[in-house]
Amino acid sequence: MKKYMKSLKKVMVILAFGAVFSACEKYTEGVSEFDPTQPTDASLGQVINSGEVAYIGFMEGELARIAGMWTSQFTGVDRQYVALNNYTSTAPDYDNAWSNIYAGVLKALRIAQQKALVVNNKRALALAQILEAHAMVTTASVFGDIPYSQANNLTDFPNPAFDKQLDVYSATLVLLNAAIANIDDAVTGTAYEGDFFYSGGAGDDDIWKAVANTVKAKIYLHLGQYQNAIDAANLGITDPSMDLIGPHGDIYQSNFNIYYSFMVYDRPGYLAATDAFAPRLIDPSSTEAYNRNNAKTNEADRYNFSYITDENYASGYEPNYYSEYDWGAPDGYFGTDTGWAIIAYRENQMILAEASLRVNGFGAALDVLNDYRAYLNGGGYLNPDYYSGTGNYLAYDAADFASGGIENADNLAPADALYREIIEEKYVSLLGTIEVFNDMRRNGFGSFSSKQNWAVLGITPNAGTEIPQRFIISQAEINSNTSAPRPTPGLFEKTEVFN
Amino acid sequence: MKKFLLMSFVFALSIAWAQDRIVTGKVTSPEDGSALPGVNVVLKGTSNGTVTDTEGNYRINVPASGGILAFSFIGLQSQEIEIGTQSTIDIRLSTDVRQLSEVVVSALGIEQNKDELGTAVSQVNGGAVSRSGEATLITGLSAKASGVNIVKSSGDPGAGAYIQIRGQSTITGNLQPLIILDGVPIYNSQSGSGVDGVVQQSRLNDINPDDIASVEVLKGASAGALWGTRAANGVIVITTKKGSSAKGKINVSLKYTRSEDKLYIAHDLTNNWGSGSNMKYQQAPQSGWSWGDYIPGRAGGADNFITTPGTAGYGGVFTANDGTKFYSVANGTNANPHGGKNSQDTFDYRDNLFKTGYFNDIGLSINGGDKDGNFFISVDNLSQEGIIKTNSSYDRTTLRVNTNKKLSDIVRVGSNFGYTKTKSNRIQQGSNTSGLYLGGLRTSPDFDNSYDIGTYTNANGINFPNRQRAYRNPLGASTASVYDNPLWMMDHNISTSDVDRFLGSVELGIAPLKWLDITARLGLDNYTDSRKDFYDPLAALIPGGKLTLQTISETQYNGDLFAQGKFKLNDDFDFRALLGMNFNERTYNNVGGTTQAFIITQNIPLDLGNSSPDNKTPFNGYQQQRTAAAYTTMDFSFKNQLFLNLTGRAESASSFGRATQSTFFYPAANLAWQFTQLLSNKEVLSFGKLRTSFGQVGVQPTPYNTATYYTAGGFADGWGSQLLSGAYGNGGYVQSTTLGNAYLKPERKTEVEFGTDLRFFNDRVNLSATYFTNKTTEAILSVATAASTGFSSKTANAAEIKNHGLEFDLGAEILKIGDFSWKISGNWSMYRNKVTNLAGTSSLFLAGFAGTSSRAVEGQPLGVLWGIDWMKDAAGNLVLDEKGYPQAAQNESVIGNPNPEWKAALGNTFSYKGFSLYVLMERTQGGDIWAGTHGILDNFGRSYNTDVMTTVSASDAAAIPVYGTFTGSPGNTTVASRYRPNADGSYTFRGSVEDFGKGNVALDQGWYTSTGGGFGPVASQFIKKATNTRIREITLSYSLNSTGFREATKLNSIDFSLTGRNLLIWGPDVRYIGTDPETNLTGSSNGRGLEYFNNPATRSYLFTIRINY
Repeated sequence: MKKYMKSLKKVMVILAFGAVFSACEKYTEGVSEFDPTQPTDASLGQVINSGEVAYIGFMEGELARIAGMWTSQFTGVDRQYVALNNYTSTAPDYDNAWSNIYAGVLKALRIAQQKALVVNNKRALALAQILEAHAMVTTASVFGDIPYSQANNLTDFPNPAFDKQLDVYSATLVLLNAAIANIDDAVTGTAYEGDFFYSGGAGDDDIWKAVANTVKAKIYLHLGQYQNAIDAANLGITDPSMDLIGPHGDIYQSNFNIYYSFMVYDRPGYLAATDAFAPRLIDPSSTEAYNRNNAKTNEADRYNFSYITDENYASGYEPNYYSEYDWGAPDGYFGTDTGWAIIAYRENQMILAEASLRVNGFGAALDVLNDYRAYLNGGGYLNPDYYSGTGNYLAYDAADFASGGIENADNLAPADALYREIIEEKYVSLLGTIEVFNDMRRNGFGSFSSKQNWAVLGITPNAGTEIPQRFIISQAEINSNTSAPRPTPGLFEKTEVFN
Repeated sequence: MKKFLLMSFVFALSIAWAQDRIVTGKVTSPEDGSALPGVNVVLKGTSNGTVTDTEGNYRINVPASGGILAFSFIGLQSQEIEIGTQSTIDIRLSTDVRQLSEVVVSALGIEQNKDELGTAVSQVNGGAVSRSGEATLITGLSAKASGVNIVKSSGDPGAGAYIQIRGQSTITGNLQPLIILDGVPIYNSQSGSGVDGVVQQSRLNDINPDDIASVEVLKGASAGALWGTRAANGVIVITTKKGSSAKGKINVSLKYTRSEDKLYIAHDLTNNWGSGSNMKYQQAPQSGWSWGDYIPGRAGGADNFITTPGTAGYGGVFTANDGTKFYSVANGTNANPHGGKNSQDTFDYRDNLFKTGYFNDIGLSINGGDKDGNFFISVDNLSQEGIIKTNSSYDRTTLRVNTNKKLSDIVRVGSNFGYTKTKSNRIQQGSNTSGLYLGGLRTSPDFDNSYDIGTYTNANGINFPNRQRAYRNPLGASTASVYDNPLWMMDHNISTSDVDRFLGSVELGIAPLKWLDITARLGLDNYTDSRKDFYDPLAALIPGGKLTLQTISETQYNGDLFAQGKFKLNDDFDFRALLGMNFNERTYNNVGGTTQAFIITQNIPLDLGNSSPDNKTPFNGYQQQRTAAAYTTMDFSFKNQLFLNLTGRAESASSFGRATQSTFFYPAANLAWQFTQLLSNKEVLSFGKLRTSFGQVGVQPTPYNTATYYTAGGFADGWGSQLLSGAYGNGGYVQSTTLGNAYLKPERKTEVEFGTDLRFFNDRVNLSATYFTNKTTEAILSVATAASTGFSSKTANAAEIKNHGLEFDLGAEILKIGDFSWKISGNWSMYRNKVTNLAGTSSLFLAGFAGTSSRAVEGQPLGVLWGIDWMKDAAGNLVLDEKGYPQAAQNESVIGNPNPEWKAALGNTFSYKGFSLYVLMERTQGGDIWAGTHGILDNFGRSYNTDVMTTVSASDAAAIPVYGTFTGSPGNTTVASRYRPNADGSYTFRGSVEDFGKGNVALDQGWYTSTGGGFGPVASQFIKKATNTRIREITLSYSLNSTGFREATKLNSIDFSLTGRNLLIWGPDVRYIGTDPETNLTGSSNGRGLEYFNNPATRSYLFTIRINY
């Protein structure tokens, strides 16, 4: 009996402990494991919206500003931007942009693609594919080898391999073709869900195909496949109304133009254009030999739209951040509300002009250029408040590029002079975009073929004898990805594509 | 006064014995001879004993042969008396000469005999905390206990502080110890600490230091194991005062303290160089630099104002409120580098930003009681004005009521109740263009900030009233000042915090059987912090202005039910057991809103409606978590010399992943052996104990990490610019970049500790030494994943950290000659810490900036400083550029370690009659700090080391390269190309010449504003040693308590004291760092060693008078 009592006691103790534990667990389970303030899923349209916002941030944000400083469109004059302006740049400078590209843009667009496939919405699918292709080829163009084929798959590839730059170019071309096919295959009743660049409706099919083709044209141009570039550009954005523009508004830290936010609200004084080449190129009062104003060209409107000299934050030129919102002046190129052209008619036509010159020769290229000048003559992409009327961009003729002509004072071959003009025009038209940094690193044409375009234009590097050839792989990526190259390529190491 | 100890439980067992006669007597206290109840009286060598009654009387049967009576009472020195033939033995016990009390309070709030403990506990008595002169409790603990490292966020009134016990043992989790107040866990939150904004308070500072009876720091895992997953960072057990139970007397104590606080260490700046660039004056300096003209070279007298509208250079006029007018002044030229600037006046920020701060602290406490109950009531108000001229204040009112009542021999009840009201005004600091020091220290020395507001009249005669004038906006012509004028900022950017806090606990004790005692304890901690943060529309940080209103509240319920039993197994074995349950719930709630770009821009109301609808942002946050546990602790003692304690806690929590097991067990054991019991000769070594312990504790995951959420879409570029999906189309959400983990379990820290407690020469000297080693496994962290995986982090039980360390505590009565005595108490500790596994991430951000951060890096101590170093070859030599300058490395690496090599403190107490002098010194050896401010001041040409001029010959000038480019530099190749020749053809430039190995190069403006300055990428050049020695405290006190005085006044005593705090500090890099190295930009966050425009520390002089009735 005593023995039983002993076991009984043991059992009682165990039961008591068991009761206590189950009471404990019941008590703790009375509180939710999940955050009541956060959702665990969102719709296709909401994810596309997020992807598009991150995509604008990529195309218009920090990398564009650095590109602008290194291609002498801007000058970094204050604090951290002084060193950056002098090409002193290190891996952590790219952490935010890199993270946004992968964890902001690519991630959202991939989730969107999965969600689009589930509901068989090939329009939304195509949109996400096109933006992905543009984002990733842009990333490869400035960073060189990057994670892509194994990217965005933490489970299978916690250390994504770095694909060759050229492989990323090929893969994005495939993706763009797939996107175009998807638009053609899309079923009635589906739309570009969540899209805020255009109407979002099925009626945008042609626009999205044009956008895809302009991206293709850009890729072919980088790769030196000029006939392909012409073919794509002809199917691309051939009308400015189809431009893909990142819209902006009047709410700080919500939808301000990113350049504006940076220059006026966040980091006033950092970014100016004091010593830059670009304002001197177009300022009618500039006495530089390379100034673009001539008998047929008056850049005054475009200059006024692009730059100011009121020295609000820095001496000399500053990018034109004037706006109705804060300054009571018409919105400039970098104004509060000014939309940011990401893939535009401007670029498409300049690709067409250059590729035509390379494939079809002087005459074909001059026609394209003159078409574009006609567009500028009608006000082009300027805020109409800055447009003073026609007559600023008259058509060029062959004589202007002949030795000693107004576009060939230094007696180049006429085609070379035309080439320089096309590159210069593109340099001005794409002011502030990452693509300018790509263009400046491409090799020239004709007698310029051994020079990169920055040298063709006559840009003086801010330090040393050449401009940087790439951005540096993000420090955060190196810290956590064992597949990252060690050491990572340096700033002045040319990439495979722009070699 | 040890009377409150009467409440301690004394169990005495009487066993029938053959008795022959009776001895009686009375035991009295050492201070005033009053009766001492509860004293143990034992016939030595037997278990025959008794306890004195409430009148201090005892009665004991002794054998006819007599023997020895041993009297013992916790806190007092034990005495043994030979009975001989006496039948009455009255005795007055004497105070234990050792400074430490023998009683320490356990993690559950139960008093324990320290000599029987197998763990290391540091005790700080309440008096030492309130005497320290610190207005707040946490910093009052500084240097008082070994192994406790306290770093104040800044010198602002009410500023929070970081407490670290035995090194850092988790990575991204909370590092602060668990605070137990009277047996109940309470909050010590410091909510909202970043690289900018205002310094936040630590909620522990809501407690009035004068209410504290003692603070025990339970350092090891074994001592804290009863709190399971909340004890990994140590436990601080605070016991508040109880009423005296003597004779029903009411004690009243009135206290008044006045403190005068002064700026302590401040950045040493040069005042020789005017605003401008390239050694030429500029009224609105390019990039805000003070690389302008040489001020002593100016003509002197009034500046040449350009006062005539229409003339060249006329820029309008700024009319300050007192009528003083400022006009444009011509910039310097090559021919005349001073331009129109004649005045040699300079303005020191130390004069115009600061004043003598002060606080007044008035407290009243009333306590009393009798044998069945007692009460303690205190009211205190501390009202502090910081050293910053305006709007830096802290006002704390506390009320405490503690009561205990014995209802019968079986039932007792107690309650502790505290209420605190805190109001404070805080000044912006850190990386913040509206911060005090950021604009304040960058301001050119020739600019007078005191004319900070007035009317700007432009060239057309239009008036703009209420404009801010700042050195980068010298006429107030622009609405953008780039950096706020610090004086304007103090008045216009207002941050306040208003806290109401309730702390309460009730306890019911039942002792139904002689050996059994049951305690039920319920605690509540609730605070509400209402914060307002207002930026004027002209604030540099946010043009258009911004108002944030938020209410943060936290509520914690805690319930404990435990039973204690005491058994005597036989003469040699005693056994005590405790069995209990704990329930705890914590809820965090934050609701607020922000409005920006005000519509009403003058006399702005505190109205979130004051903007367009799009410019309003509501926000909220919520967290709730529950913990439940069952625990037991068992104490075995053998022959009163060997003590074994076993503890276990089984715990489940709502924040563990439900996909897996949710109850975890934490064991602990400790063993103490009083080996001196075996010694016959105790003349030298009067007491000796060896102890060892083992314990496991954990870290609970923060709630809601078990799932991957969707968050509002957006983009932020790290510079402040951002886009929000909500402003586009119909808005967007996207999967978070942090991957949740449904299998999350607590992290586990296992610690082993060995130590000894020794007392020598009749307890006049005591020494404790402890060695510990611990390992944290499965540490929870957001493992940084490569962004290319689509996630920037994943929550996981991944990392492993190891710590080991040594701690020594020493106390001694060095001299005692008549009424004079000299006592010392000291402590020394060292820790070594290493992150042994970081789950595949090589470096994990904890706090700081993109360029310089405090991090966890595999193979390195936690918190290492990380950033860009100079480019070096394999042999460690600098790789120079073509001109001969060092270059920035492309990638980041470890550049410093903020963990000190060791810390030591030594307190000396000299007493003579009623006088007492206490001197506390402290040394921190090693540990790095990033002197971020200094680096930035190099860039601006304000730091003392940029005040150098060098003259080189014409030929040298043509050969010595200059660095970089900057606007206004005429040439960027050599000294000759950048600077202007002197009359004799030589060149004088501001800067120095240095040879890094490829010949001389100039370190001038071009160097400091680029790679050689704080905005350049190379952070390693600003890493400095935090090593310092300081006189932390000197207190001279006098107690007027002579018998004559007492009889004449009916008062018990009047105590006076004078305290100086932070009187002296010296260290190799203190001047360079420019502030007290005991600071941290990111507050009590997990990252440390960062100094970047932190608001300065203070030195204080205090006078206290305390009247005791």
